[in-house]
Amino acid sequence: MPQLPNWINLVEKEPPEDLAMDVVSLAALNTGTIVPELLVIGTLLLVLLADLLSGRQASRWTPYLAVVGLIGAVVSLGFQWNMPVAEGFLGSFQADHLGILFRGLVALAGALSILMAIRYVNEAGSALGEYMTILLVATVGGMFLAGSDEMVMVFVALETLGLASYLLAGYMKRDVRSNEAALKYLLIGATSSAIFLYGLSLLYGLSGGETRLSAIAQQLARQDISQSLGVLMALVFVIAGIAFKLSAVPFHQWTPDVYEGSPTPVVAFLSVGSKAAGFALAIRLLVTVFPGATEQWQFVFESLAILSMVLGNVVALTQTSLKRLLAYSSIGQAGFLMIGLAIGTPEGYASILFYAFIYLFTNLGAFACVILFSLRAGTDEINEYAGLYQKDPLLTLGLSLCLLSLGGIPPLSGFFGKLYIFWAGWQAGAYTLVLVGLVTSVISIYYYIRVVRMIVVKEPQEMSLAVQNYPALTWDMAGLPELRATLIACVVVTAVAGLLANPLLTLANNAVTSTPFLQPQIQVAQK
Amino acid sequence: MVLQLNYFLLLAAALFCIGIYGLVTSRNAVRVLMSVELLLNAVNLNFLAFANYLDPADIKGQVFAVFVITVAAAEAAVGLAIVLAIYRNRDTIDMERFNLLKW
Repeated sequence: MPQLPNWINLVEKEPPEDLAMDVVSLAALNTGTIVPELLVIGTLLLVLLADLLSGRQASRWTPYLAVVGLIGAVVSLGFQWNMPVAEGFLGSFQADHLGILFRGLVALAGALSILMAIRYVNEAGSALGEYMTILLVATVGGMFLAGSDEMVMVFVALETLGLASYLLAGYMKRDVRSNEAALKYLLIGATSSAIFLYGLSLLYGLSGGETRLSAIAQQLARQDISQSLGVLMALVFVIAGIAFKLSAVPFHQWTPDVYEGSPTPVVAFLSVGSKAAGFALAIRLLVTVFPGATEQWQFVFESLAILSMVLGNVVALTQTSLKRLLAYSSIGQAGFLMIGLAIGTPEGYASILFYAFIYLFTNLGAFACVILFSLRAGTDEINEYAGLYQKDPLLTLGLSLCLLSLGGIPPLSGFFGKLYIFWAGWQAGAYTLVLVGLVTSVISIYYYIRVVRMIVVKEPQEMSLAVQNYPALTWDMAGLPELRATLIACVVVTAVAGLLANPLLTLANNAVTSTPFLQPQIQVAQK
Repeated sequence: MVLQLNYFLLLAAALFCIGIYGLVTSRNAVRVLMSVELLLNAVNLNFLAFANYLDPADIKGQVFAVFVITVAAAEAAVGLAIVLAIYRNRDTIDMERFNLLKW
């Protein structure tokens, strides 16, 4: 027995229960759990092959192929929902209901951002086939991240999502700003994932050589060190990695730069898909591994939530570029979502799911409008939107509805999202969080309204140059009908999802209450 | 003399700190990428040490390290590709001159 330092008091492990497990049959792997991901992987290979074989002609139909593949993944997730909760790959991958909903969100975000990218990518003169392939890779990474329950898998999924996102951020490779955004994103992202990984390596050591999240928690509890300095250090490192993905203040510095410099459809995906996957990871990792340090990590997330809400919403006031404004607004929105994480009640998790669903459509709708405007007017500056309502009613309506919904104006869906999350916070007694949330929502309404006022209320003579030279409204260019369809779909969901709040919230609640790894938390909350 | 686990962990922690120092102070983008590699190698040392002392039967840590090395290679490839793209456009890889997007 090698000498061990005194801070590790290793408890003898139980011998493996079943020695026959050494020979793993394919059936024991339970590959059925990753059918949705396999569908997306198949689709991306097909897209890549089609693009290689028939070149540019293929890009007329490959977007539909990609979207059909992603919709297929969502449908198969629906089937998985009705099956009993299964674990695949010897527990590395959990097909529980919470994971299924988050995976569905990531896949939806991928599908919508492919549809809104077609015209944008063509106009920039870049290849569409590779764009879709990389985006599908990012989607697969996000979907795996939302369901993985084992450290190696978490890391590989995180990096799949991360590396694909860096490539996407730099996709406009002749545009210096896109280059710069990609470099900053890569360096900060790689650093934060290395820090995250350092935390994982500490957990591996402290648990005496376990990589499954639930096994780590058991070992930590058995050694009675779930409050020790080592575990708390691991917790800090892990949170730093997760907070980067969620772009929580003070790990947010990359967000505005990347949002401003990257191609807009990519930003749309990052702001929703990548963030949803990050929340899925945060919930699973923190709840499973650190039940003994719940107070500590909830306190950290409470602080992160307050900082994000305040800084995100206040700095957004001063922005002049709509993309940058949406970047800060997404930091603020992440702060609202983190309320659900910080209170740690079943209602909190359910309201994260519900809000993330609404946020997906609202934010993607807003970005679809930004894309459409930049295609027609060639700019993202807020001042250039002045007087737009006289030239482009659809864009005006869509952007106004989405921004007002982001601000939480009733009866749009964003209001219901915020209502549930604040209500859950109030129930859990997190009064400070809710009050800060309410005050910062009011601030956020101000800057959203500022944009809407700029579009709607201006006199004809105050119209901006870009709007004066606004091209005639045509929808016959390749890719524009898809963009319009995405925009309308997002706006419609944004407008009416409030009416469907009840079934959606029931769905989210069911997902939380039937998810195995959340059960201890639910029992704590019921006492 | 028996090598203790502590020594390996201290070495890894020192390497990690050197990596962080390099990240903060380097102006050359390639040097920053190299610092990231240092961080990942520190993590690898951690995993290998733990696998050797605590998990000699299953060596999950060694398996993990293989994955980390693989991903680090992919990350370096992507990173260098981006650095190449930016060099073609700007003729420099000095981090302090990438200031089109204000922090």
